[in-house]
Amino acid sequence: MDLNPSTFVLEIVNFLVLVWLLKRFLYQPVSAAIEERRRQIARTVAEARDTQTAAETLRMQYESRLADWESEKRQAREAFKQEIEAERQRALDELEKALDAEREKARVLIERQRRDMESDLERQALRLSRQFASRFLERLAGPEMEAALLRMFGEDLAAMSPEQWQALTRALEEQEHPEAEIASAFPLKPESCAELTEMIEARTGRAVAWRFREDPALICGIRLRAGHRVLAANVGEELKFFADGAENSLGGG
Amino acid sequence: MEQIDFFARVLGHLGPVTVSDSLLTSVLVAGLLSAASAVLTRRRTALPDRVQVVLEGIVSACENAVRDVIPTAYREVTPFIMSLWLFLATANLISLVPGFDSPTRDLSVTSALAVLVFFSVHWFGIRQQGLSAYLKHYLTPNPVLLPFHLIGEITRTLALAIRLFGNMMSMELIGLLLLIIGGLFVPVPVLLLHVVEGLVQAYIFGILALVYIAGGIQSGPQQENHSP
Repeated sequence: MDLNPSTFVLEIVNFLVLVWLLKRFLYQPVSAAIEERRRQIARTVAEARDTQTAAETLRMQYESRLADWESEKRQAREAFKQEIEAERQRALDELEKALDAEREKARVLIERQRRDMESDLERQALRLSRQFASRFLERLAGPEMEAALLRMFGEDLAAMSPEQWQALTRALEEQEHPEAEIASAFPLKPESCAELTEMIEARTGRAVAWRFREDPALICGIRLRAGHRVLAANVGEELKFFADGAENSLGGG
Repeated sequence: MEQIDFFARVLGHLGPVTVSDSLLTSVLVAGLLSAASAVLTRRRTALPDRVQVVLEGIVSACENAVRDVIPTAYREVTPFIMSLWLFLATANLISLVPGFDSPTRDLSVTSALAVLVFFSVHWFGIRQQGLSAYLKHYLTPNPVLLPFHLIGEITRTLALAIRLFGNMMSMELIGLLLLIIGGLFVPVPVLLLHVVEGLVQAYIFGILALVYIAGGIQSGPQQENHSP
């Protein structure tokens, strides 16, 4: 139980060496490892915090952008609705115009058809009236009526103006051998023929070679042809003239 | 009756130096701890394995204990206190290995450690406060108390040495007596108690050293600061 000085001193040295060795090989490296891990954890926590902050910022930006998008979408929808409304109104206007044009066209067409129909009806009425008048006058036609027409023809010739006679004269003169044709529906009496020819030759001053013939198409009456000049007083041609005149007036209307 | 050589044995002499078994065992324990530290801390990884976790646990426990008492200078004091705990725990428990005796049953060893604690208190105190400020605390609150301070320094150092020596020696003596009286397996429960006793004595020695060092560090200006 004695205090051994050698052991005492060597133990002190031994323990001081142990303290140095443990500090060098245990405390410092392990503390450094712990400290490094603490720093790493702190770095990781800081990074996580930064990431969280960034994520929060991103989330806010995203929400803000979503709100902007929603607003833009609403505005775009409103604009689109207005555009659609304007387009619909324009289409309706165009349709209305087209309908008006079609309506006007149909009205014009109906009017034209109505007028054509009226014209056809008038033509038909004219044709019927001509046929009726032709049949009626054919039944009335006879030597007496022919004589009356011949007399009327003579009166007309007598009443012709000098210019008309000159025109008739020029028509005869245009022929190398003046000739004329007198057509009648019924056979003419010789004295009637002579009276006519003498009056014409006397007024024109030309000797004319006369030809006489019967033409039932005249129905009743007489027709004189000298060159290109024609003088007529007969029912057939008068009816035809009347019908052609009415037809022309309908066609021109 | 055969005489049992219970106390430290002198194995030989190297010139003026006497080599005892307790010194050899102390050197062996120190070598073991140093070698284990050097080997086990050689491969450190960011993701620690089980050995690294144990080592980090030991170092962290020691550091936290010192930091709780000395928050300002725990980095300087921790290696000393941690060395005391590791050395004493290993030295106290090495007697459980057949053929080895605990070096702390030798008063020379415990006295050496107590003297080291004694000097470390002044060393850390002067380093932290400066020589004059440190010495001044011996004169406070009244210079009349200086002898008592000095007596207290000596007696607590002696108490450290005697406490550890007495507890470890008596524990081994009890085990030896039971072995002699009762037979081979009778001292086993006492040996289990020896484990607890060894660890407790190591803890007590280290924590008292820590408290003394903390008293030395915080005795001067801080006491003045805290005084009304």
